[in-house]
Amino acid sequence: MEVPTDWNQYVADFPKLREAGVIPFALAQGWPTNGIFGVLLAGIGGTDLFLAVNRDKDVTAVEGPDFRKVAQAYADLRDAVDVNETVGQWNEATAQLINNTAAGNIMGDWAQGEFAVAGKVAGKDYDCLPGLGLNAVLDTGGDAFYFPKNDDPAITEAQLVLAKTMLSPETQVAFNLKKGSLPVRGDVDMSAANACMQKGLKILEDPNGVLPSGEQLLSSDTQQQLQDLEIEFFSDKSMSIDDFVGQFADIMSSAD
Amino acid sequence: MADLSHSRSASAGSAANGSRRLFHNLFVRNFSAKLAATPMIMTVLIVFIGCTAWTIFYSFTNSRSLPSGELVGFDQYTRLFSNRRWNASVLNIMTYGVTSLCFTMVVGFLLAVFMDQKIRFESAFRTVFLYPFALSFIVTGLVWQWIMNPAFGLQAAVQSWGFTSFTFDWLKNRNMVVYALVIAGLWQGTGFVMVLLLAGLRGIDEEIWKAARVDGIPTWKTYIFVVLPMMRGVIVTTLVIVGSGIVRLYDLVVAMTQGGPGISSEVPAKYVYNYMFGAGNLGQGLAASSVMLLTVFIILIPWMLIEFRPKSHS
Amino acid sequence: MLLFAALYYLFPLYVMITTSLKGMPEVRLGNIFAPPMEVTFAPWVKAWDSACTGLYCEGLKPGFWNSVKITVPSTIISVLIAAVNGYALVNWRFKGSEIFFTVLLFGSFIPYQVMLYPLVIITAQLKVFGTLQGVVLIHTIFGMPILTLLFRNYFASLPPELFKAARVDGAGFWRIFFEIMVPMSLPIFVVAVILQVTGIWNDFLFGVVFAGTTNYPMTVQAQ
Repeated sequence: MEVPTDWNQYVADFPKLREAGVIPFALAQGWPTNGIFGVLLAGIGGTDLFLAVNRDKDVTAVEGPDFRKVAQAYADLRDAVDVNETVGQWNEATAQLINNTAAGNIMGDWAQGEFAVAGKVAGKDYDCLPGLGLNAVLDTGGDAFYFPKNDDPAITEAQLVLAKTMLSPETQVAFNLKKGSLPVRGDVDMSAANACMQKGLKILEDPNGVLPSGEQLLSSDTQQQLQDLEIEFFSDKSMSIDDFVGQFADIMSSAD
Repeated sequence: MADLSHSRSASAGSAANGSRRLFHNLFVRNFSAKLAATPMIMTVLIVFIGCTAWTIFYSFTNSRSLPSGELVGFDQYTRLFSNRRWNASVLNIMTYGVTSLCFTMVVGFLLAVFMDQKIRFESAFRTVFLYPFALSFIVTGLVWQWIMNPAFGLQAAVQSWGFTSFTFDWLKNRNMVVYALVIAGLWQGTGFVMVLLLAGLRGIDEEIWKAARVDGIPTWKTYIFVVLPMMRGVIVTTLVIVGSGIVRLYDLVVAMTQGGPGISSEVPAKYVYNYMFGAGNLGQGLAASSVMLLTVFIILIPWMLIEFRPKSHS
Repeated sequence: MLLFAALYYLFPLYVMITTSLKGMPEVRLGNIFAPPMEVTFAPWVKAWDSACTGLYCEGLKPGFWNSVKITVPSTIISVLIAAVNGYALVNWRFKGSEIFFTVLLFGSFIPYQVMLYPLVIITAQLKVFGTLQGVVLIHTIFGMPILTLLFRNYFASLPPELFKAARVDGAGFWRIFFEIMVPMSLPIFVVAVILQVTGIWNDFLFGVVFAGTTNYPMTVQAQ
């Protein structure tokens, strides 16, 4: 079978993958389920819709036809997934891909670290579709490091050294090559990066290619409600799209 | 018998002014006992009364990450009861509670009755039934999650014996997952109920049994119609302990299902924890916990009526 | 019937032990009934020494010692306080002591979640939030109702003549406690210690909230 070039082709291949005895879509319970919705929103809905919903909390956008398409895609994916095949953790889902028991999955760039450890090569053993191959954007986010303020100059000094080391070009290159993720600064030489990372780097070059993640735009209270809704919808095949969109709009109308 | 210590000297000082006497009564008289009871008094005043009042007060505010914010009346409660996850949690805990309570009591009583038949190896059986109670809900949840995991648990094992149509996928089944929790919860808790009820059974006077035998009443009838009503005190205590444990249910869910699949095994305690610490909506979390508190008080009412009603005898 | 019930209670223990002695490939075979083909203690060693929980790869070892460091002082402090308290409630009643005790008993039924956040603030004010002392304090508080009840009822069952005789001899509060009450109540001390050790050792909620990441007990780590 051909490697699909975008999400629609991939979804169209689901029945064939089933016939071949391969799990079409590897899914881990919990936050990965929420992450998928964000990715679908950016990939299928597009940048404008993503920002209208997450940044502007625009209820009419949620009730509009574009958002509905995203919800439909989410529902289609839900119906294609067999609950008995879901796993507990994201890295178990990645392992399903590595062992060839599953065909694909939506996950952050860090999943590449698992592939690397298993000795798989990007572009050859596996591939990736940033923005689902539909909309060339990356949703960014990361772990923040906070340094507690203190009165001891020696500790402050050590904090500065750590911060400098983490952000130095050498560290960034070495770390990201291992993890499979993208550097936080644009001026480092990533020519050693693999095929997947190159795709990501190319998107980063375009200032419109970077989206702030929902985590930065919405309060944790709103996120929690959306998360609960998405998880419920994804687990309950009897829940209608109308219901989902209605609830989503409700949460957004009081979102902050 | 009480107040033997310094009471005489205190009342003797008739000329002493009122405030001095008050000081004396409050602190000097029976000083050691009051000192000994200080931790209890502090716990009661600061933790049980103070913290509870604090929680109820702030549940009427729109506090987010920090307890500030202004009074908003019942807004948090309105939002709470229109939240699908919360409503699902309430429904789940009710299903879990009723099922678990019935089975714990019935199974616990049956086990106690069997243990009461002067069987051999009684202490061995007692250990077997009671050991899960010494394990935490975390361990309980992890073990049962393992057993019930369709991929390599009971289902896979039975299927590998040739019974390919055998399914036991309650953990992945939205309608059954609560009962999966019940099974694990029963495993952990019935032993304790059995021990409590067995103690109650042993407290029944031998004469009652003799009288029943003389009257020719079958054993099972004696248990149900004579012994059971006599054990009312023990049973109510057990019900209260089990009941307030159910309202608190949290660890087991976290270890076994994480509230999933979807939100089908969410419970109120988890909602409180999530909104208080994860989602940074304190007002919402506190409103949810106040509802839990109210529930517990409703459960406690029958116990209070029995325990604290005016005693006719003695 | 009893044997049948016993199977239900023993089966998980069997699964726990046999599975823990299997290597990972054998676990994936999915036969939880089968005894291990090849007994390996490697998972035990790994769990103890090098399994990763979150960022740390030191196994359950640190969690185990944290659990010990939480359980031992919490048990000792809470049992001692409850014993003295129960004794005061029975033999040295003062105005209001019974009221406080009743409220204490009611308090034991309040869901922990209700008191969780205010306690976070209080422990933070006392500068013990996120420390071992903080968890110990919390365990002492929440162990108090049941332990006090235990000791109070036990002391009440002792013959009151003992106490009266000692009073006539002029012994005070603490002397009577240490010389008469404690030696007579060893069995109840044993019960109280067992109750506290199992309860605290198995605690999850207080550990996760009050201990702070470096002090997580084993239950939090295992999860």
